[in-house]
Amino acid sequence: MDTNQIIDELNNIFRNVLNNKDINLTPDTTAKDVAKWDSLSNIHLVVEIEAHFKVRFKTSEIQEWKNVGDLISSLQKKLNA
Amino acid sequence: MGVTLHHIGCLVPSIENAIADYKVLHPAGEPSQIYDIETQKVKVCFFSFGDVHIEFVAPYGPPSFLTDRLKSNPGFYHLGVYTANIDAEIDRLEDEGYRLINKFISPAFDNRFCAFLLNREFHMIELIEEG
Repeated sequence: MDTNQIIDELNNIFRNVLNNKDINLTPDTTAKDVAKWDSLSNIHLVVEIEAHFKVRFKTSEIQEWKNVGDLISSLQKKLNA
Repeated sequence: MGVTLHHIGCLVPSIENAIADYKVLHPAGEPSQIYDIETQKVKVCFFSFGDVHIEFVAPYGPPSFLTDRLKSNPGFYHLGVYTANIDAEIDRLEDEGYRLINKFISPAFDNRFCAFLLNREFHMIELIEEG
């Protein structure tokens, strides 16, 4: 799955979880750029992403993400494994 | 390994109003001071029911998941439990499917470590390191 396709699907997940239809993620997007993306909503996002892509992240992996690009890289590694 | 119930967290728009309401229910109950947990953007106050407390939690600051929840579903939303070894307890719960939300130092507990986790039912648990 390529990056653009993953971003499209992540956009849908973020918009639903954060109840904000205006979210448009890029690889450089960070939590500071998205209203209500905090530590609590992040776990809800992770759970939805895991269910959608049928993967599972370790806490240590999640803590290394600095932006959406890191999330996508981590996701692609699992999807390609 | 084990935990002891300390409080039930309750999202409220106004700590002062919540204290007044619970004083009606339990006139002997005494509120603690109000603590500002700046890292979590909440103010909290404990209202004693003997050994168990209600923790009134009033979020502030910019819109957040918690401020949304206050609007849509205020009321009881987490259990606060003491644990002797918070890191070991986090590891144990994560092995059992709980997800760590964050770990932080809380002025409400003499600057000891606390951590929020979500269980598989999406219920929030706050671990508090015993003093």
